[in-house]
Amino acid sequence: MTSQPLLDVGKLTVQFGGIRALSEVSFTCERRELLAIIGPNGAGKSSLFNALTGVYPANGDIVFNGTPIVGKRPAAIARLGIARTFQNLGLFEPLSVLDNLLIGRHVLMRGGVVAGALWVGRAKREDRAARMHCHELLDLLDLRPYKDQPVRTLPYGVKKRVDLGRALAAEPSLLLLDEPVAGMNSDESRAISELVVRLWESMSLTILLVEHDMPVVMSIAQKVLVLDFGKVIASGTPEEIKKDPRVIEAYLGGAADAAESAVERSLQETTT
Amino acid sequence: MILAFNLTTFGQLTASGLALGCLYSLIALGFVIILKSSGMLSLYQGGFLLVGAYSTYQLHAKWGVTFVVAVLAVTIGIAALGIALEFAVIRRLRGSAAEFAVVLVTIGLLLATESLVAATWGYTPLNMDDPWGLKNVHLGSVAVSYRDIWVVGSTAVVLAVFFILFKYSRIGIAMRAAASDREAAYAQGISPNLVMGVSWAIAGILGALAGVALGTAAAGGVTVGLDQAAFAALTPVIVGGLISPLGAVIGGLLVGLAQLYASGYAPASFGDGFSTVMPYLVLFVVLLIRPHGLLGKPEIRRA
Amino acid sequence: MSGVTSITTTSVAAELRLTRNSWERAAVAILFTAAVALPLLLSSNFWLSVLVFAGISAIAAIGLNLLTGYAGELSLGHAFFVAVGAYGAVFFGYKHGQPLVVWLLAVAAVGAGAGALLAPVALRIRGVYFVVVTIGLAFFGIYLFNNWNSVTGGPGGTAAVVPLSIGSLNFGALDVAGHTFSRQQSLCVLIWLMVSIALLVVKNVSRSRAGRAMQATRDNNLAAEVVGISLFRVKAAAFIVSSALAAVAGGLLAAVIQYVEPDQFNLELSLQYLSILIVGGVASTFGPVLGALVVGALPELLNRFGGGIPFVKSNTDFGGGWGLSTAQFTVFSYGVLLVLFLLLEPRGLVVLLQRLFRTAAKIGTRHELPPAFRLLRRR
Repeated sequence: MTSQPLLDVGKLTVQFGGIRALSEVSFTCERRELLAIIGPNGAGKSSLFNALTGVYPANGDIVFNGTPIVGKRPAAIARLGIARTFQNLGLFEPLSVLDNLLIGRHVLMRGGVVAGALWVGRAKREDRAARMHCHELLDLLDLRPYKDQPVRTLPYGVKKRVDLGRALAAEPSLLLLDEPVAGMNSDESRAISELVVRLWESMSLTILLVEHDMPVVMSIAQKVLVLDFGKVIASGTPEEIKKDPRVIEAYLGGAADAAESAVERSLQETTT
Repeated sequence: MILAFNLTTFGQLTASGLALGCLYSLIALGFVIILKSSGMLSLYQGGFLLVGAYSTYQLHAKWGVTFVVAVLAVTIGIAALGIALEFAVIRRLRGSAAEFAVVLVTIGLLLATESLVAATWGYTPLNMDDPWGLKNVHLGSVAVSYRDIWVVGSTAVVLAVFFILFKYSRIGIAMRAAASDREAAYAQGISPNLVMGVSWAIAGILGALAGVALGTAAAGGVTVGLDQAAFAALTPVIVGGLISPLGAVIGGLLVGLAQLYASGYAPASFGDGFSTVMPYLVLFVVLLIRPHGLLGKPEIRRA
Repeated sequence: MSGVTSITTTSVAAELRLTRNSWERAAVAILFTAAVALPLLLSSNFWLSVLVFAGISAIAAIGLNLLTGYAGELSLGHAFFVAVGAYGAVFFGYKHGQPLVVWLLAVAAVGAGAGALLAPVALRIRGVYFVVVTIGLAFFGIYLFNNWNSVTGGPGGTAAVVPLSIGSLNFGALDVAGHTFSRQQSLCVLIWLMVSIALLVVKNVSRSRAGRAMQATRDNNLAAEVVGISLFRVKAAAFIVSSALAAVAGGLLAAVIQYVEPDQFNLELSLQYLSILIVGGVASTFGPVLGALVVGALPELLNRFGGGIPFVKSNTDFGGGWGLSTAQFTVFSYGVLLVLFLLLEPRGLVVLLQRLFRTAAKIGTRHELPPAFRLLRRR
């Protein structure tokens, strides 16, 4: 097993015309690590995910599992083993839950149109194996009651789990979770974060997590990266960044001591 | 292949090309207006073309109404048709991500219109009996038809009126706002019904005027095949990146010129009908080089 | 893998089967038998003609469904590929006298080839631009076929008398148990056999990895890319298969009419196929067939009973009143049906029938309409 980090990001810059979404962001992520990325709105968190998955053009270095991926198309990056969930879900609405999961498994299958049309041998075997795997995911994510329902008709919480299942179906080495508990109440958030931890442990995943929800971040992250205005302003364990004055300032914009201690208190309250 | 460059021929082709180009500009502008105010492509311009041409024929050639009066009456009638279509059919399509549904509905309306027109007036080319006939004016050795001059002149006037209205009138400002940011504009209280109704009325008028001109004697008469011009006018729309009125106008002129030069200079080996396909060849070439048109911008996708 | 329950195994096995339940199996069996037996039982040339042309349109529409319904690329250029197929039949079947199986396969290959040639060009271009390019393709096609005299015989058209036998089965005059059937009857059997094959091919593709990839591309092409789908490969595949099917339809058309001319393959033909798709049901298995039957039967019924509909003249009526000829009414009805279905039931006849007849609901999957075709916000 190499000691090389799974993900090595060096001086990553994403620029659109005059706007710099990311400025020389550098960090590493070790195998099996659960790294959270936090920061105020507009800090560049989603841009980072978009750069990692090849959706945004980027300058700098991104080395994943020894392979440089800057400049590669999203489909090529997916084939290397990176999967993500989306802030706005991005599910395939008319298709069923099971079909969405099966599509998630696209990179691990090989049949093309001709194989599909003829439907003998490889295409059929591959499909059966993929379905078996996705059925397991259905049970894992408690989605079996919705298996054949079109995603469009499902409640938000269920859709979030489908999004997660779709990413997991690819058996990725690196999983990018984009605000997995957005829009959920504290019970649902706790359930999802427990699920994420369970999956992280049982599937030997490496996870990058973008979240606003502090209790979730503080409770499950091993390491935290803080972004503001497209730059890394702090990185360390949850405990460390909680006390980091730059982090506090970023969230409050340089407030007075009273506010500072208020924030400290609220950050402390989040660790249960 | 011509052996020597003949200025007379070139002049005549240019004159006719400009005239045709003006008509393409008008039709293309109609497409762009609806695109800009609703984000959807309507393929019904051909329908407006046909109704405009045939109604004018009916009023003027069959019922003896003075040509100018007939055209004015048709203009008003077409505006009403455009508003009615928008109200009855297109309005139900608003507010959804149905990119194909609108195109398909307008195709359906076009097919219905084509067949009704053919049933009413038949397939033989009809004589519009326009006041210009085939009279020419001679600029040097170049013979330019009255009709072409009138076409270019009136197009210039129509475009000028249009651009002034667009820029300075309340409706025009409302439409520009809706075109640049639909949601913000509607949130500000601009009525989508008004903008869409006006867009369809204007697009209809532009199409109908082009139809009348295309149906004149110099162009070959009023036939059911006139709506083909509407499809050819899609090239200037694309060249303008779908959203630039100026691009559509300039593109229209260029395509008209290209078509006439093709008819005059293409070698015989290119066969018949080469000039008619010219607009589409221009389309293919433009899109090959720039998939978003010459003036369009690729969308940035966000996840 | 741990924890594979028997529920899972049964479920997966059920999912993999072509038909969902015994109702579906019965329906397919009835359809197949009818497809083969019905033409032989009918002797009325009128109804045979309806079935023949509906079948040809169905094959073309099944192909278009793959490109437009499943892969989400609206094409108005389908007639071009039908023409390619028709002229392919002229070349391989008529001019070079190849047997049925050979010229049909050759025609499919040429169609696929044309699709492959055009795919890289056409697919750099998305959405609206693609629609406009396909319009250009339809017009360019007519120009090409009008002028490529050596292959197409120019605007005057060309004869297309092609071989129709597979072994001892002659689809120009089927001989079953001593009884010889008419040309129309035999062709009808051939065509509906091809419809069945086309249905099977597209059904298989739609439930395979490739088909799911197409639908994903249609529904959210950004997410599809991120999930690992190569947009270009998917759309090219859809384009190629749909072009091949269109070409087959064209070849059969040539075989039936025994005459091909460029003007047959105009933009209106492409628009007809779109009407069939919408009326029948976009992105559904049987939609194109239903649409072709209904939309195809309409003008023929008119032809027969034309006096019944107000303002529509039958072919023998040369009276003075205003009216649409049957040909005009055909086009008119395509347009009206298109608009009505899009506004009222954009999911097409497939769903309309399911709503009306609960038994019909057991046949065929519940049909979700892709967002691009849905007009009203809530259905």
